[in-house]
Amino acid sequence: MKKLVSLLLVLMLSMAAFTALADEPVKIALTAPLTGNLSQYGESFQNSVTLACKQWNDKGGVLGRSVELVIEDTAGDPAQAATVAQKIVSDGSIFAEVGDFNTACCMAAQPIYAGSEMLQVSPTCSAVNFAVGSEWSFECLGTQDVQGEFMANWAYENGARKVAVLYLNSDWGISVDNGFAKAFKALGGEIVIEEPYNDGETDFSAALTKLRETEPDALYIACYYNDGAAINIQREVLNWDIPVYHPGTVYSTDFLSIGGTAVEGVLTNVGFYPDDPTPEAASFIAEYNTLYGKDPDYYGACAYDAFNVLMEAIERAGELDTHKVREALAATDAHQGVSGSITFDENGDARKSYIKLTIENNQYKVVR
Amino acid sequence: MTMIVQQLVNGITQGGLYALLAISYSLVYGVMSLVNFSTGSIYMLGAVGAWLLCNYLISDFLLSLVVGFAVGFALAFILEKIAFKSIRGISRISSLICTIGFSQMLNELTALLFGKATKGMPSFFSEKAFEVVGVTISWLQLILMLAVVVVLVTLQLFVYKTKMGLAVRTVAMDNTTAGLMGINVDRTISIAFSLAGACAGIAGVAGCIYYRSVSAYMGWIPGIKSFSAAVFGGLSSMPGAILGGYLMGIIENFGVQIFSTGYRDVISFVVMIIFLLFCPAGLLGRKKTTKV
Repeated sequence: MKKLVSLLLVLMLSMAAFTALADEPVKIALTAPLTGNLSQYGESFQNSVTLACKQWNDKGGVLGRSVELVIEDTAGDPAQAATVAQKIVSDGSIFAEVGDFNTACCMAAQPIYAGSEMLQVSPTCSAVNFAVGSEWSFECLGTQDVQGEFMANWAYENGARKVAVLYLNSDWGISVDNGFAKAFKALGGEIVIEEPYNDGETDFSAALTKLRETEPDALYIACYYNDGAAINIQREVLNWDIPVYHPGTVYSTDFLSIGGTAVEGVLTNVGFYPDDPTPEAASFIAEYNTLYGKDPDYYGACAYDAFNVLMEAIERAGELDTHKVREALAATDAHQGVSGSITFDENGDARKSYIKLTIENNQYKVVR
Repeated sequence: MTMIVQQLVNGITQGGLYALLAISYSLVYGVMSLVNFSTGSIYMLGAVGAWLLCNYLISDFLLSLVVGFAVGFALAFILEKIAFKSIRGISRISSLICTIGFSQMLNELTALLFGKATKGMPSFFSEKAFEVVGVTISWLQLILMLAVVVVLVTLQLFVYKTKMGLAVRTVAMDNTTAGLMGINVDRTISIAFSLAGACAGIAGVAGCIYYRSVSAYMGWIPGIKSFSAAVFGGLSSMPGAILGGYLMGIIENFGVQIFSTGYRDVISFVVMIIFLLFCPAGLLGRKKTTKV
């Protein structure tokens, strides 16, 4: 038995060595929820990365070798993500992995990739404890801390010195509040009140009256679009005219239709804005449209960028050595992606750039 | 000062909604000794009715209230006929469970047909009416407050000044004896139940216009809170329920001011529990002595 195993091992190793020597394609695995509840995002991942892969092959591949995608479905299920990760690392011919969409899947697969020293580049895992968990993990969406800092800078530049924060009392809301408050205080600003509200709340007039008492220069409200619309409507009823900043979660056409006049002039951000794209994004959107007949979404754009930063890191490393590519990837500096500029911090979290948005005449408009 | 007046205005506006719902509970409890937990769902469907009217036919404030009244009335009428009439007198607990079941069914059905996403309502009378110590009051707030008062007064007049109202009060006292005195108990219960539904429907319309949004789950929290408001004021007394509704709205708003928004629901339920402990009949409720 032992003999057989060692024989097999030798065989596998020599095969691996052989494939590395030969002009075989560079294999990259893409894991995404292609079925199940999150399948719309999985499809978006698949489309965008397939397009990116095609573009690399059209210009001659990476390090002179063609690129091949191995696409695996994780269905948004952490158990399946772990099985798929096991399959990918034991394949032997796959160089690195791009994925997954949701935090749970990324976290479940992380120890398996880390154990095999395989790069795991998630386009969208923004949980603060993901990328820091393994030197082999990177993420391209950016954490709440980065977005908080971006919004804090913007508010400070606009002259706000005293900001009142109202936030949804959830893991997400708390991390948004912390991210903003930390950055704003670091700038020398003052957070006059941090008021949480519970999910399902419909009446915000009491909370807004309370915030108003603290006489802030601006409001930062961490909420989703439906609460955001309700809060702004009630702010309008209270006749309180004050600059309002929101994280990117309110970016939705429903925010405009429910909020109406009340959301006029509200300030928020977005990573990817198809209606007024940067030159990089414009060509991506055009090619995506010809291939798939629709506009890509933000998450697809992140997946496209994740694949590209990985490819560029391979080019810069000059050889298919995971350690060297990891170093090159970690050194990614201001990659001009379609979902914004990407620089990785020491944890492997992207420091993303965001696009400033406001609302004028019930339409989103880029603030330049 | 500004803050106190503003929270008071907030509390009275919100309390008006609670009062309408509380009276709905009180009316049903009076004639049937039953707590109708589908009140919140009727509130929500009144709002959905108004949204459909404003979105597809005509965007009109008064007509919306009429639609809320009609939807609430019709729905409660049907509910009473199919669900409560047949099991009346069998067991109070099965009727109670039945109202909870109905509430869930209506909420989920609405979510399926109408969608789970929040929809926006047009704004009415958002112009400023006047200003007191730095607090602006809009026409909408004034009109809503007035509309609530009109509905509550009309209902009081109906119950205390009309023959039908007398029948309702008699059935509330003792429905067996009322039946023996020649009162059509079934019809009286049906009317009281439907009117209670109509109140909830109007409250829903007022709520969706005030908050300018409609969603399938909007009735849950107001339904539960106004129930505690009704208990607070005295479930067996209509003026008590109204008082309870307004007080609950005001207490909640000052509670948020003093504690935190997150504690809002805690405050309203603590108030209810304390009242049940020290004053089981509520502020204006009658003490019921069970005769052997």
